[in-house]
Amino acid sequence: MLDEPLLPEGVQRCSPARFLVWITLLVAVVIWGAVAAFLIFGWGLGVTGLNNYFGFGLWITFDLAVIALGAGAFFSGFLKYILGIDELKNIINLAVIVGFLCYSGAMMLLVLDIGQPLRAWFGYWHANVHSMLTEVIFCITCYLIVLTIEFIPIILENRQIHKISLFRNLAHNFHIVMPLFAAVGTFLSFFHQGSLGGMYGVLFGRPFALREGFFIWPWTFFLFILSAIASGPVFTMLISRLMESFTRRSLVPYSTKELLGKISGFLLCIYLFFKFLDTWAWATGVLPRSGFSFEEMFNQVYGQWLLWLELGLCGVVPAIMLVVPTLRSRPGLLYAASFLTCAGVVVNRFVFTVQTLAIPVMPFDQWYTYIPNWTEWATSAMVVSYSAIVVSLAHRYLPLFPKERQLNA
Amino acid sequence: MALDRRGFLKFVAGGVIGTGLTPLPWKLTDDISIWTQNWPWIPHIPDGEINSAPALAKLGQPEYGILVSKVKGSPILARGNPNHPLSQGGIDPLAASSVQLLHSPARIRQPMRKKNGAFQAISWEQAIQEIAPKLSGLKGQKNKVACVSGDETSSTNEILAGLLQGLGSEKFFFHPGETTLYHHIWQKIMGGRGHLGFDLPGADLVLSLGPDLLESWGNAVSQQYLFGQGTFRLLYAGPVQNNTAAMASRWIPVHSDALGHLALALAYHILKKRSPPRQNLSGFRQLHRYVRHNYTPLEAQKKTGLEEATIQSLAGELLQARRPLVLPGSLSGSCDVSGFDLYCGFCLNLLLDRLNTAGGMQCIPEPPKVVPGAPSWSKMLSGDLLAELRRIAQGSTEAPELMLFYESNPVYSLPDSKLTRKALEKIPYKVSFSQFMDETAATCDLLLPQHHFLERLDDAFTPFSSAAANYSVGLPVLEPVHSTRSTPDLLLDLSGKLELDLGAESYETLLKEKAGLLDADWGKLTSGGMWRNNTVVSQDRLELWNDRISRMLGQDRERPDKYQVHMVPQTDRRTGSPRTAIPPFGLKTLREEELEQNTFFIRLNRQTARKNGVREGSLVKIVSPEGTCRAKVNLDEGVMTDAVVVPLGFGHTYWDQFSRGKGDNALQLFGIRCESGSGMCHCSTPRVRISKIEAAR
Amino acid sequence: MSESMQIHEHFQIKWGMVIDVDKCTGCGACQVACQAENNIPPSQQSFDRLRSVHWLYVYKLENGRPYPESDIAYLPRPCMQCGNPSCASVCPVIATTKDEEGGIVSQIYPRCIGCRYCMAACPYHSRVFNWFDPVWPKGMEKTLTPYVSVRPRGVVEKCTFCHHRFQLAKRRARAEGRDPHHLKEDEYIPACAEACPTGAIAFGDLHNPEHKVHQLSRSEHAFRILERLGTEPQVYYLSRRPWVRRQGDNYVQKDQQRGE
Repeated sequence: MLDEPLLPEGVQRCSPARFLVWITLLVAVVIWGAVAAFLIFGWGLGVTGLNNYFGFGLWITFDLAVIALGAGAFFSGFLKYILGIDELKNIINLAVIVGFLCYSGAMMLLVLDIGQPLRAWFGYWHANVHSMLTEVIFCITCYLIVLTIEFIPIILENRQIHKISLFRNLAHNFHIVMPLFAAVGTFLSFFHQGSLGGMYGVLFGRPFALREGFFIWPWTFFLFILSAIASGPVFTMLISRLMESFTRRSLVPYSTKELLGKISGFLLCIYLFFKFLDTWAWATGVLPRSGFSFEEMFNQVYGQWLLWLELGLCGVVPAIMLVVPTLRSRPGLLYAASFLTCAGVVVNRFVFTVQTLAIPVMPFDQWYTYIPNWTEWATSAMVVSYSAIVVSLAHRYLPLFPKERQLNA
Repeated sequence: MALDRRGFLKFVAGGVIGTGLTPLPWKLTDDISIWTQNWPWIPHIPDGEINSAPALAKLGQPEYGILVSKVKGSPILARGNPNHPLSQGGIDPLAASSVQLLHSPARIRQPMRKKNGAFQAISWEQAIQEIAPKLSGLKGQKNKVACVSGDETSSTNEILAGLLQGLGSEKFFFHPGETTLYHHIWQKIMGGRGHLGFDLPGADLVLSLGPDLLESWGNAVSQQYLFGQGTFRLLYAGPVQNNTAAMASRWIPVHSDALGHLALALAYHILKKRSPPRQNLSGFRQLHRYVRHNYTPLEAQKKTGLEEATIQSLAGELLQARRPLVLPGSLSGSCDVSGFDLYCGFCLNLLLDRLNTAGGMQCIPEPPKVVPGAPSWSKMLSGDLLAELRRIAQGSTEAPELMLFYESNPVYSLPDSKLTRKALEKIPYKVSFSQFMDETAATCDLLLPQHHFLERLDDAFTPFSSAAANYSVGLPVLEPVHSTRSTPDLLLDLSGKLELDLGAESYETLLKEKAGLLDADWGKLTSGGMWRNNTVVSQDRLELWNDRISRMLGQDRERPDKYQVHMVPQTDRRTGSPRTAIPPFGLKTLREEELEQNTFFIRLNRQTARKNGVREGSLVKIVSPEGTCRAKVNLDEGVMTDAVVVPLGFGHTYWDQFSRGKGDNALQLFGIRCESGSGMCHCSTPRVRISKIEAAR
Repeated sequence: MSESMQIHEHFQIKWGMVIDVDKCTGCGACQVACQAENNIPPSQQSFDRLRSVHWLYVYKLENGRPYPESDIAYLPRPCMQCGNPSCASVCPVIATTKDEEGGIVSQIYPRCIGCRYCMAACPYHSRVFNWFDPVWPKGMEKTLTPYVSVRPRGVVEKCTFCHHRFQLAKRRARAEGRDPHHLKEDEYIPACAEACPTGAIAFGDLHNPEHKVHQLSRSEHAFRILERLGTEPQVYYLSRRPWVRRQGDNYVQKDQQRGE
């Protein structure tokens, strides 16, 4: 193989030609997204499907969803480095990369999403301490730096780079300080996951999103943290499963996957307990106080089915499947449950972003339906594709999975 | 190169701190925040002292004084003028767009001549060389030159009519509208003297029989002001809950062809309860007999579709009021009213003793004449353009050789556009003085663009519906933006070349003379003031009954069976006036249920929709005997069953991007109806058919 | 609502509007005056609440009854300049604030990063985004006023009660040696109120008993839109028609008082 010296020792990889075709496909998608991005930067956000009613749309939903699912990074780090669950070393590298991709991808879309990207740094310079979004801006950017720092030693593990003493030393030192970064990351991530939820909970002009809370934090603050840590681990695990099916090689031991499923399952139960409590309090407290009935929060498009989908099919069902050992020991059920969990979080982020804005609050206003257009899909696909490229490269050239050789022996 | 960990970290840290100490990042961020505020493609706002100048809004009815704010001589805003009695600080959305219209892409920038079907720019000298020999060649030949003016208040009319007279033509016409129609009925049919005005400020009860007086009839701005002050109780009878009806204390739903009948039905009760009017009215007995006979409660119910109690209570209100005023007129503020309806409304006022009295109908004297050769004001008003065009189209009258269009766009704004086009095609040479490339200008051979009204000196004598004679003068507030010329001055120049004496050197001396005759202070007039005189003309030969009237009352209306739905035209100043199209800022005020992309909406109620098989948002075809329009359906329960509201002002084919191709021109659905008895031609509001257009591919 | 969400600023002056819905004929003069005054670009499309840049929109309200019981009303909606604005606290870059005497919620265009969080927060849809750069037909940019800078694409904007007129009025008062914080009735009014032919829009200091809005806002026919959400709007509406007042807020079955 042409790139043989770059591959990790003792593993098998597909031919460079095949790899190149795969990467070319992904690059094509990136180019498609880049064209859309060019149009957006060139003419303005008017070329997207966003509008005055839906100032937030696919991008914000995508950002919030990937940030929640990317929580696998900080949470696995927290479990491994702080709580010392060593089993997770089998997947921690992937968790870091997935986290890095989720956050960097979200950042890319945010740059597109704001009307004045050149002023993005105003968030630091003119920070409004009262805004949940300020907290998000600070934490996301800081955490992205942390994730970058966590990603660097993984890159340094490459066979050729590792030969250089400077990098070898650097990697070693990084590993020593990693628990510190894991702790910092946990702190940062915890806060912005919460703040993202808080962003919606504080919208007292939008009864669908509005929540009461504790001190300055509306309940959504805590619910977003819980749902993120419940879904993050299984999302990382699903990525590893996806990689396995693409590469047709075992990468992560099933026991690790099961462990992640178990962790997610328990957290999901806790989350759902509070989420049901919250939904009940909202439907019987916040809504009538604002003059709305529960039924008025839904229409034919944004129907109650979304709520039952989120809480039932993508909530209670996977929670049971993940908690009951006999169920999660079956790979098919474990993966299905993991997928449903992740889907539930996506639905949750979607309704908070889009349904909140679709509901007419003024009695003489009307429902609107948001349909993202191709520019939003293309740029979102670009981020997915960019992530696939990085994961592919990382898998090919970096020793991500300590058990890979053993599992495929 | 040996670089240990410490060294590396030092290098990185040093780099970061070092860069931070240089001005680079700080300068860069500072620059970014400045750049992002000053992109070169974003227009900059002007700087300088702001002052304001009085001006006169001359965009067609209503006309009133406004104030124009300027920065360094350049107008930026038009506002109401609190000191002008016809505005009292209010402004309508069209006049508020005056300043933007100065820079409309539709402005004609210089004289143009049509050659091989396309316009080419020419100089003013060339333009005069083109028109002068043509006019001089027609001089002395009877009625070879005709003129249509759409400005009912300007002294330019005298110059135009005087010029025509000098050339040997009597074919001066006003663009048909309420002024000409009211004049026709009042003077020619009823033998009245003077011109009718309506003293709304003095009334305590106003019953509008059709006119949308808070939107399109008369001086809506002034009427809105009075309404806001709450000086009168407002009752509205008409087929649609328009803005006037919505604001009124009561809306009495009546189909538009029953409004005259309603007036006579009310007259029945008034005649019963009240002694005859003080004024000795000839024909009172005949009318009395006619009404007592034909408008018994049972007949009235049949004719108006209203319950007897409704009519009775309405009559009761009129009888109880101290100063009631009945307003008959057009639903759209143009020529869609029959002589019958006007006559009935006038009669009701007369029976209520509401002539030349506070809060009643006022007979305003003739304005003074300053162009010696010009016909009298009454003579100028008596031309019937619709009848003339009909005759020309039918070939019963010889078409003139040359026609002048001043502030008038008949191709767009007259009913039966096919007939109008046919008539105009027979005229070999047409000249437009329009400021804008409108539908009529596009058919002309020579364009001699007039200044925009903010660029010119002009006047307004007693705009339609005024309570008393009044006179306002507007001075130009800026230098002309384009190479345009004042039409009256151009005509005075031309008259010199044609060796005609119109009695004035310039338009300014002419207006000063007029002010002098009125005994008005020129200084006050030109600083935003208004002259006013409350003199009324007493009547000595007014007739409530004569042959023509009895024929007018006796006629039946033809009702073709396949057309079931009453069409109700509606005018909205946001979509412009018969003289202008949708102004730039007006377009954006049209709601989603008024115009969607390039399709406009008609309004009808659910029952009518069901009957016609259409639904909210259906794309439909509206068919009248005269034409077809395409529109979408907006369900509105404020429309009578079997009626459909069709807004006017859409469907321009010229003008600019703010009006071209926006909706259809509903005027093409209207016909021209020449009433027997009154002999007056007016725009008929036909019945129409509505059918769903199958999903267009 | 948690305490921290509220911005408690107590101003000596509270500029407010009282709009008499029963006097609004929906003529649109206020909208045109607003566009001209505040350099809002014209559009080649009719109003599109999803995309149009507008500060003042006139809603058409219907009582929902079939013909002939139907009734309509027009409701002009500027920015409510909420006493407790839902937008200001959420802005990450302090581009919109309620911190100036008079209680007008500001919008600082050069500061705005265009994140649109404020638009998500405002239930009145008073805020609009510049989806494209503004365009005036050639020559029409000469009619731009010196009052408000032209906003580029990518920033949010909204009605400011013609704040520049407040500044001018204060300056005039100072020049005449009067207290700029005690302006006379009508010394400062926004363009829409000035243009309204029926005088449906009254404007003044809600705290000042000498101003007519002080009395009007206390009328039994006065209401505010979505008062129950706690936004404390500084724009009041008047209507003698119960069905209009009821459309000012949302009510559920068990609510005793239903806005009548």
